[in-house]
Amino acid sequence: MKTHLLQQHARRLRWATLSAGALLALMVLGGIALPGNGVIRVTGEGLPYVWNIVTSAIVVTLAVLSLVSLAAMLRAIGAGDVFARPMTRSFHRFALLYLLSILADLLLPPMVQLGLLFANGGHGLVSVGVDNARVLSLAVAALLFFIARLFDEAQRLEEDSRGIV
Amino acid sequence: MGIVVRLDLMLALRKVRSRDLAAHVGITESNLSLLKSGKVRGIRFATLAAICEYLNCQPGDILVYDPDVPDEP
Repeated sequence: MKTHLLQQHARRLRWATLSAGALLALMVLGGIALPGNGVIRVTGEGLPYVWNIVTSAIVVTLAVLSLVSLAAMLRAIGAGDVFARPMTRSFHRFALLYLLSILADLLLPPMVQLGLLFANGGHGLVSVGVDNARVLSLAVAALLFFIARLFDEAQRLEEDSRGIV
Repeated sequence: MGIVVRLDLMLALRKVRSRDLAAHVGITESNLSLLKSGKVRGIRFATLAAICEYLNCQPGDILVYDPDVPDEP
């Protein structure tokens, strides 16, 4: 792919990523602000409504921040900084925030349940569920870290190449 | 690394301007300046050949190994 085409695609993808992040944030905010409107509903795993909102807000904040990092990476590519330090750094941040959002989605509900259980004197149950989608998401996050390492190597080669006249 | 670039000396000996050499080789003047000061990681054979052609010299006239020269940090 020619460089200017790559830059053009990166710029378009950046706007799509930012739009997706904004839409995600708006949907969750809408679900929190307008509960029970039948269109958007914030659900949790047996948690009280307030705790549903708190855990959802944390997960979505991490997810939106990861999309912002992805957009920053695409902006660097759009500016012609392919395999430059700003691009690889943004991709690292994206992979980390994506992993954190998945881990938060997976671990926060049972942690809150555990906390509430202790607060209630130890009576009740804590449900921990790992479904296929979450396992797949974790695998994708691990793959993103591997790709980030590849980008680091590509950046090193790019810097070497720039130093050769 | 111990490699010393003596391009400045050859340019002076041949009475050639950096700008003319850069234009002939097809690199920017800033890259040629980096090459003259030895602040590059390497030099392509094509670049070296073009420099030797223009200055009518051998690679050994431009690049010299000196074990006393310290490595670049």
